[in-house]
Amino acid sequence: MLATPDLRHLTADDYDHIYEPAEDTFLFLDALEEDMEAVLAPRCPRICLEIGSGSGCVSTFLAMHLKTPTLYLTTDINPRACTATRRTAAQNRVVHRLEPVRTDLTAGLLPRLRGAIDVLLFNPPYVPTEVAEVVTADTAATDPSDLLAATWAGGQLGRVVTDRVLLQLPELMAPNGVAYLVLLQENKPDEIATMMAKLGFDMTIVMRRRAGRERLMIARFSRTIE
Amino acid sequence: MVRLLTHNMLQCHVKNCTNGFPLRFHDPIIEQHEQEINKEFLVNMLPRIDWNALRTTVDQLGLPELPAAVPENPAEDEAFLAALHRALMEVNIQSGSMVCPECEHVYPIRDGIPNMLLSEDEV
Repeated sequence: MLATPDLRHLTADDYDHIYEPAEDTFLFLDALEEDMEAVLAPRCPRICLEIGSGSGCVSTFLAMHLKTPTLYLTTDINPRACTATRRTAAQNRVVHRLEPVRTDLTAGLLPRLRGAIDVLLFNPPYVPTEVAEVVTADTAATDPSDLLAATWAGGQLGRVVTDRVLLQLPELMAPNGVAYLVLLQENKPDEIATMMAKLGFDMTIVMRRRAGRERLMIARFSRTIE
Repeated sequence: MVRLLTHNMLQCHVKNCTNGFPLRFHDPIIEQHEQEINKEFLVNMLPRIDWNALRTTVDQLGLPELPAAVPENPAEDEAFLAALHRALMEVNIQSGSMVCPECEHVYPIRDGIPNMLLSEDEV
């Protein structure tokens, strides 16, 4: 078992504004641990991008344990999440490898990082909700006071934000890159696999776990080898 | 603490702006944070660096000049790696903003974090 990042620097006040690591986060860490030596290390990733880094727990975990010269870029629309991500990296002594950027998904990183993402990490807002509840860049830019809904409200099928990122994978990912995504059964993983096959990506479920009512899974996407 | 490494990967994304790179620092508060050099990391990162943009930015900030081109064997060029390390990893922009060279959109830097968010009418 690899050590989980130390999160003692984060307070109840932080968790009023950012997502507190929970079962989905820990499943994500377990899946990355599972893939660490066989999938991640051999790729010797240059750039790992985490979208919606929240507390920074996931990128920090990878930076702590993946012994490769990798840059960890993280994005979040929530300024509190960006500072929490940096604090978590600092607390766990990987701050020199991790760079938070406040933005909407990947905005501002393209076209520079086109085809350059070796590892992509995304724990999206996956809970099915009314579309109106989904937080957009516009809300975040004009009223950053309450962005907690951005951590979970996923709109129709819980897929509104997820699909925006999945459709970008062909543009984002390096030829040998791998993208990891947290999914719920309600997000219709089979439908996602079909959609991604059309875009030239294979989907593998790395790990599944039931947490209360949530049937969580971690999916990995890589380019189909012709 | 926007490092020039990160800055080198950011581009203006205002609608119809096509040439917003590299962003120009405006009123930067520059700090130098000494850090242990990791040559493997630097060599690994080089293919992702836009060299001309880095040189332009270093020049704008009044920092020591970088060579005109990346040497043929950067991994064996100690002086080059040391200069690259100082520029990419040790220069930190603490506050100020980044301005698009084409459309002049201003991206603020707060708490050392670049803010690339646009409102919906700008996207």
